[in-house]
Amino acid sequence: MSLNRRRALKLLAAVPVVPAALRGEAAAAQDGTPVASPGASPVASPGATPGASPAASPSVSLPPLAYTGSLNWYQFGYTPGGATAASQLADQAVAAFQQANPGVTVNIVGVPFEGGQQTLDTALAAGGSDAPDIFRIASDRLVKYAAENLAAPIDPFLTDADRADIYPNVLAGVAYEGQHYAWPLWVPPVGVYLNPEIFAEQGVELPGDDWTFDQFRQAAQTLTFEREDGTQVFGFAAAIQPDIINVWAFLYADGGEVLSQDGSTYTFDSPQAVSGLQKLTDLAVTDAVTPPEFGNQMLADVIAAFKDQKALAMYLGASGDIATYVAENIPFEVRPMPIGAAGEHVTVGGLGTFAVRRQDDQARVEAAMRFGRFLTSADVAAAVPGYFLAPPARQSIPIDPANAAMRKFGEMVPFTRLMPQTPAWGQVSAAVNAQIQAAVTGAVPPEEALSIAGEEVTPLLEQG
Amino acid sequence: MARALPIRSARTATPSRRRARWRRWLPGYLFVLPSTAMFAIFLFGPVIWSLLLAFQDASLTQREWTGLDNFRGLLDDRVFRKALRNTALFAAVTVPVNLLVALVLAGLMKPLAARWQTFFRAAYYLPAVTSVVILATVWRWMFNPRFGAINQLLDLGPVPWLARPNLALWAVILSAALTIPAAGVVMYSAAMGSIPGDLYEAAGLEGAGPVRQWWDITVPLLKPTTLYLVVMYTIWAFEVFERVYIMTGGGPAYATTTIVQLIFDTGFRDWQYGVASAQAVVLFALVALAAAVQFRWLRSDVQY
Amino acid sequence: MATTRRAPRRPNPAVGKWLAVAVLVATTLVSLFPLFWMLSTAFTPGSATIKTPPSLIPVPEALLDPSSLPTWVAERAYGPTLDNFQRLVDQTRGLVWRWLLNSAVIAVSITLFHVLFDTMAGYGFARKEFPGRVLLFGLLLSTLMIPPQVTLIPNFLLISRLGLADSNLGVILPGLADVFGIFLMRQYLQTLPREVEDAARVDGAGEWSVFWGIVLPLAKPAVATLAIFMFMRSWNNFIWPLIVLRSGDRLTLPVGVATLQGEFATDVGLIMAGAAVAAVPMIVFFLLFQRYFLDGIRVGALKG
Repeated sequence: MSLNRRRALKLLAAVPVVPAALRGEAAAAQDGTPVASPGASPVASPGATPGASPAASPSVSLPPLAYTGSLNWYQFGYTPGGATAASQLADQAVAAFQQANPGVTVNIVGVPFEGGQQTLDTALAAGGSDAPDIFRIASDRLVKYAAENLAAPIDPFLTDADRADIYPNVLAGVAYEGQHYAWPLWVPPVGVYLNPEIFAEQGVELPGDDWTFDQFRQAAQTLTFEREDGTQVFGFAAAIQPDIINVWAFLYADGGEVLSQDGSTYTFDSPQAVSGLQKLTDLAVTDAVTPPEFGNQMLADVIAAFKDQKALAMYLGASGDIATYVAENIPFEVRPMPIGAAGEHVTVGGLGTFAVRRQDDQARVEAAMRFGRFLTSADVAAAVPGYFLAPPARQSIPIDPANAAMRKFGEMVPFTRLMPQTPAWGQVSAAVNAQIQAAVTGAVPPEEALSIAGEEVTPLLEQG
Repeated sequence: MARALPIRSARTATPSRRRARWRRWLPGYLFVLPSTAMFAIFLFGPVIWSLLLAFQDASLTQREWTGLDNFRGLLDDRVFRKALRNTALFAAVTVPVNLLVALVLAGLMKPLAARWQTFFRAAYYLPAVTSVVILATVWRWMFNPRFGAINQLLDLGPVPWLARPNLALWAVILSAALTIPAAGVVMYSAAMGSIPGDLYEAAGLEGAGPVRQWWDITVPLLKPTTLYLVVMYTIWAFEVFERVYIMTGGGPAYATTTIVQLIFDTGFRDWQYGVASAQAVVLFALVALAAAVQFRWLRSDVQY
Repeated sequence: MATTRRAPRRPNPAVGKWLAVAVLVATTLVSLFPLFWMLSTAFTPGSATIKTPPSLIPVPEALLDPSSLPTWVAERAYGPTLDNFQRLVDQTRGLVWRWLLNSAVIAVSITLFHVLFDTMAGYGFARKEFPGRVLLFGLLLSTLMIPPQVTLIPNFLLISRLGLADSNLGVILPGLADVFGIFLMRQYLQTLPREVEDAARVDGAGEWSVFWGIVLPLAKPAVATLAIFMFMRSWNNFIWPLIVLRSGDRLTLPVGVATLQGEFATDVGLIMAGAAVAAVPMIVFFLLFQRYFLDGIRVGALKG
């Protein structure tokens, strides 16, 4: 079958796992004509499946659903009628589910990527018959939905097989006050994308996985140069927007942590975090290896500079971008974050999940729960080729061994720090990112910036 | 004025006279009913609702009365203060610039033939019929550090106008100041046309030059128009949103966050309906206060 | 010259006049430059959008031979193409046409409702006697002072509860609470003589047929101004549709164009093509009905 990987990406990676991924993929996935992907299916290909355990298909033993009727699935970038490959993938997943559960009809409601988060929020707030029954959400935003009583706990529907299958730290990532509030789909860590051609152009050796920050910085300096045709190439870039946490990897790499693990205290004013932000700031202010608009750059800009203009050597991104580059034959490599003062690999990441809206109709909730499990299970991986675009949350779903870049991201999962859980997360990340912007543009010294962010964040945590 | 209200006393009405009166009044009520209903449902009701929300801790699913907490919170809120400062600076620069440009252009157009006046008015007005969203999208690109028209025309090198906290607000202000205040030009032109010509002739006989005449006759006689325009442009400046939302989204580091941008973020990103309503109420109060002050200040010595 | 009678005497009329014209022409260029830049970028082939000096001079393909053009022109020339528009349609999967349709449906509906309701209300306030008339009119007029942002959250909650979120009607309904049209129609109808209406009433016409058959036709000039203004206002409206609409196929043009910015990041040609699709209908509209626009500004209707 002809599978447009970028559209698939756009559809499936749309979960704001790291909301960064959402925006970047939205941008990257839109600009091009459909491309048939060669080896389309990482999961369904014969060589990839032996790892699947019996836990992979827990739904087999489940009784038929009591509910008959429709479910509303809010999906980013879906266009009605299956006009695109992305829509076809969603339709395939729905078709497989409907076949297994006759009597349930899934309506896919397409929402735009840009502003998609707000769109979903307003749809949830609005309620009514066309409100979402099931929707994608990043685990860090999930707590807010749980606290607002909008998301239903999945615990009554979580089987022992599910508990054994989902990675424990990932399952913990959807917990809030003793309950679990979403079906974990996948974990996209933040890694470094490299353009090997620019490395070759400047005679810089490609780094190994255990590279240090100093190696990274040196590379970024050498890779910032002007080509003979006048094109300015920059060594490094990353998006810093209210809901994008990619650059926080620098602060974590030096041992910083935004909040204490229980989410009660702001800790990004620690010397470790300040040191990490100082490094990021030096790249921009002292070394000038970043584009002039660094600080207020959109992720789509960063990706365009990397992919279309070929004028960016390295950037921070999540696994969602892989499929775009594969489909368009863009040369790229992936490395983990360079090792910082923490002395070991650390990166940040999100967790993509499906949450079910809390409502009175329990049969309907159950049906939505069944669908949520299906959308995150080995069943969907088997039924819909090319479904998983980030390391899956379940042990029963293997990563395509042929997808080297995805395997790299898979290797990052053990040292990926998921964002802490607090209902005010949206405001916390906006406040911190605003001050990171201030620091990297040279407006405020890093230490002061992070302490200002603390003054804004602390009252938010107290409210929660 | 209240005492001029045409409400008649019903004390002495007999039932039949009352019926007759209602028959006379009814068509009037029916004619204004559809509009009034729309206002009641979508304006007066919501304004009251907003006032109530401002005193609640309200989010998507929760409501709780919290008295003045939201307003107290705003006092301590660094971002809100920043938004107030940004909005005030935007207004303080754009309002006088717009007024002055409108006044000067209307004055320069005055001696021209009517069709040329029409031509210039149309040329100035053309951008104003285009959505601010569209113009702001264009400006965002013209400020692009590498291939934007501003850096190319001024040969400045890659100045990242919108990415630097200390430049971004000025770039937004510049985009607003460089948009010709077409409504102001049109209104000043109309007002200038109604100033009696013999005033200028008399002044000319006394030896006053054109600049003097402009300053001594035109400017004072335009005061009612100026008052109206100052108030309107101030209100529009306080309500600036699209320009900021499109050009910078309020960033970097809140450098361009205005009150309305903040209301939007607080209400529709953070779901803090109560806090956002409190911010909106403060905006309302500021607009009303600004208008009242300007009326007082400019009205005192208007001579007709 | 027709206007010399009113013009002040100048020491050196010719110099002064040419100076004035020079300033007016220069400001016209500044005023129109963003629109010019938008259009030329929209028609520029992709490769030429990002270069120095920018390609801003359209030259038909046939003449686009560098050797036949002066260097200065050749460096800045481009052969206009529709590539960007084609890409816009392809990559939004035709959604841009839906946005155009949605914008048109919403703007036309709001306009029709306003023409009917505002003329009715204007007639009621201008001609009918009923208790509370002055108070009610004053109350409606006072809404001019209320920043529209005050009602955003309550109206959003209201529209959501009515189940109208993400629908055209959800955009249209709150747009009907707008006092400008009532004010305009009342002012206009007050200037009309009552005799015709009274004559019809003597002939036994009912209230509605007097309104429909006589008042509405007589009010045509004001209705034209009103219609054009309401159309433009709702066509360009941004923040409300931004909040209410969510599905990709239900957006209006300004909201849709704003999303292009996020999705296509550096494809300036495509984004400007989208901007042009949103801007050009209003520009054409303005050029056709200029007179009514300028009338509208004079009665204080529009930003600019």
